[in-house]
Amino acid sequence: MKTVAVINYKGGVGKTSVTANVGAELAWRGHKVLLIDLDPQASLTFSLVQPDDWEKNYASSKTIKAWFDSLDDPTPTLLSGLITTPPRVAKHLVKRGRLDLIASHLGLIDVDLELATQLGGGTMTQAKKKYLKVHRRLLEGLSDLPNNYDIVLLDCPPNFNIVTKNAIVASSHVLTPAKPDFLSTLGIDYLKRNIDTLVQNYNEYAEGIDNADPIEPTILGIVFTMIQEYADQPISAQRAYIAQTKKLGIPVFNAYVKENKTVFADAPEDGVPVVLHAYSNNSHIAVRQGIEQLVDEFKTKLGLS
Amino acid sequence: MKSRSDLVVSLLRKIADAVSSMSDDDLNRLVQGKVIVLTASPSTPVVPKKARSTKAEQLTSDDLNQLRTELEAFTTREEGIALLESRCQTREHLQQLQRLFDLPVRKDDNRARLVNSIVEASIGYRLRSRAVQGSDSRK
Repeated sequence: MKTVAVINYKGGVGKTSVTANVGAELAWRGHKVLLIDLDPQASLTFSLVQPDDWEKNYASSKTIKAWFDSLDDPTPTLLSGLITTPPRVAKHLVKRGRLDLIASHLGLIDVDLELATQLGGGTMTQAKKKYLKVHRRLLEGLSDLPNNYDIVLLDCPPNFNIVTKNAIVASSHVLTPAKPDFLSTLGIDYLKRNIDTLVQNYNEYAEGIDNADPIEPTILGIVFTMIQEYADQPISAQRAYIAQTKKLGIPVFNAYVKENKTVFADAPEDGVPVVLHAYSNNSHIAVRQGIEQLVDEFKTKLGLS
Repeated sequence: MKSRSDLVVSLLRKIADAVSSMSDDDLNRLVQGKVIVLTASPSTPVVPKKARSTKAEQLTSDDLNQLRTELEAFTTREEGIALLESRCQTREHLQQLQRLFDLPVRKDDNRARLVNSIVEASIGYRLRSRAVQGSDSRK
């Protein structure tokens, strides 16, 4: 099972759209996919589940927050007990693969604060042990999942707090959606720096404390999003930032997600990722084909057969 | 001797020239009827635009590639700016370089913006990345 953290320190870069559409396209191609929404904004959750349905059937005990909250209980909740199959998507995947979800909670932001209080210690050894315990929560939780998933996609919040660090520690790969503009490309650098630091600290502590396996999340690359095209290529203002990112040695996907407000604006409202819609309009088809190309490349880089 | 209508046309043309060079404040004051003094420079011979500036020669592809190589080797923006100021005498030269770097070419960009866009695409992006990641990203 591959575990991929979808993350960018910068918000508003199309992270949730990428997670939902890559997951949906993989499921359309027959894979068994689990999405875990780790963002307290719950955008991925609300892209697949109606907010009123979420409040009635998920909020109290069927979200990732319930799992974090119960970790120190005598009988903690299991991640596998939180898995749901959003029905509106499932209708589009009959005789295909599977797209499941562990929903987020608007109160997940409090979990970060709670986890932070568990850090520290009287001695350096105690502090390192607590660091490892707190940052391994999700890694250990995922081991409880049923074996039949091909891939887990972790939709991370746009920060580098402890929940996000848990996602990185638990992941075999990292995927970074980004807009090709000045501030978003700065976010890539900041993310790279933080991931490097996290991996180094974790592995150093793990080696010194309990000889656990080192983590080594592979950077799959940057997926550029919200691309405006002219003459079948990104406009020159965006090409400049794409070129600069490549020149910095960061892997960049050739495929990208095209901008189309008509397509993306209301997609979360009907609960079905755009890639699963059978559009007949040319511009809609172009968006879908862009996502399909992205998934082709994603599967190759990930080694997902 | 010029006719009266020719004189009126000539006068209006001078007024139009003077008004076009006025600041927004002066224009407002003029509209409000406040007294201002319009000064006109001694008439200068009108030179047809085409004759005024002969088109500078374009940079050759060798020139452009050489510039690109030098820019990409620099480690400070100042070096890049100095190079462009010394070797690109016209906006057209800078726009040639913009095209080489696959940058958007905007007709209304002034020289400073042109220089800045080239420097950022060749030097600035590296400095930004290094600054955000830290000189040693392990720290």
